[in-house]
Amino acid sequence: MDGNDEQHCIDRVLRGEVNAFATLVERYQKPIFNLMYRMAGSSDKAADLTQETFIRAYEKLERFHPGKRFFPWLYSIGLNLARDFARKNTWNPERGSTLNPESLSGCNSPGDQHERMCESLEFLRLEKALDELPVIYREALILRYHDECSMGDIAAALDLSVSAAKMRVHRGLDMLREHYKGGTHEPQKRSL
Amino acid sequence: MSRKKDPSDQPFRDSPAELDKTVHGNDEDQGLLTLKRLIYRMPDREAPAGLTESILSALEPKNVPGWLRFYRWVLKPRTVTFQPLKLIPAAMILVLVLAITFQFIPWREDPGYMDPRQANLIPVTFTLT
Repeated sequence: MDGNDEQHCIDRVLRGEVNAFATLVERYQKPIFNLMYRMAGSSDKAADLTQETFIRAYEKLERFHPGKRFFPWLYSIGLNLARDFARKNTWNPERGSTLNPESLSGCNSPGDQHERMCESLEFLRLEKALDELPVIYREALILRYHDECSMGDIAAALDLSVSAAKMRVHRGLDMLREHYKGGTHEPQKRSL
Repeated sequence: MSRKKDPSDQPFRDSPAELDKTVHGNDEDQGLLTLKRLIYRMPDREAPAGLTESILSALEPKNVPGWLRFYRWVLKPRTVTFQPLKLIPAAMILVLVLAITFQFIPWREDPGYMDPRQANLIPVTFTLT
């Protein structure tokens, strides 16, 4: 879906077609849900926050500037909600392990299983290192390297200038490297 | 949880990570590149089934005033695409029309206009009696 399709959906929603919003929800629910999961640490809370994000976006849809990208705008709404949530609640992760037995079921040989397990452990270590980063750096990294956003989109989502977004990604990467290398065993702290 | 990207993909072909690598130089710390690749391939969690329906059920149809819709229509950027080859006949017709138009316009001389070569001459009036 490109910007024109998104704009078309938004136009239809503004003409009173609620169902046109489903296209946008289906397109972006996964990254928003994952953002909320990282912030809330639980699937139920993440689902609630995702729902609230989309409802709030729907309510403010007429304020969305035509010609801008929808995802950074939606992400910034979600991030604000998630920050509010994090301020009011203690972070109590139910962090499910990336190493689950089902992921190994498709492996044909012990070699494959070993490789898959090593990979899962790497992801687990990465998630832990990301959790230790301040949210502003972590989200910049996720947007850049996972969701493949442009610096302009990251700047819009995080309400920064483009140069500040670049700086944040750069510093975030350095910080992540330190945490990833160090593999600290301190209790996880949430910094907003 | 699902894996969003297949590890067998060619990672970072034209992706932001690849661009950053170019920006920082090819001898960039291998550790950073590994981290970028790991973030890229990090598995996503699937949103719960039925989330879309539960969101839509909480929404009321919007009733946006016509002037606001018009304002948004005016603000919307538009792109125009054309093929120069197809424009050539249209451009020739336009030139032809302009040429004919200028040809038949009755140009009137300005009554206050005086040729500079005649500026030093004194007008003489002959009266026949």
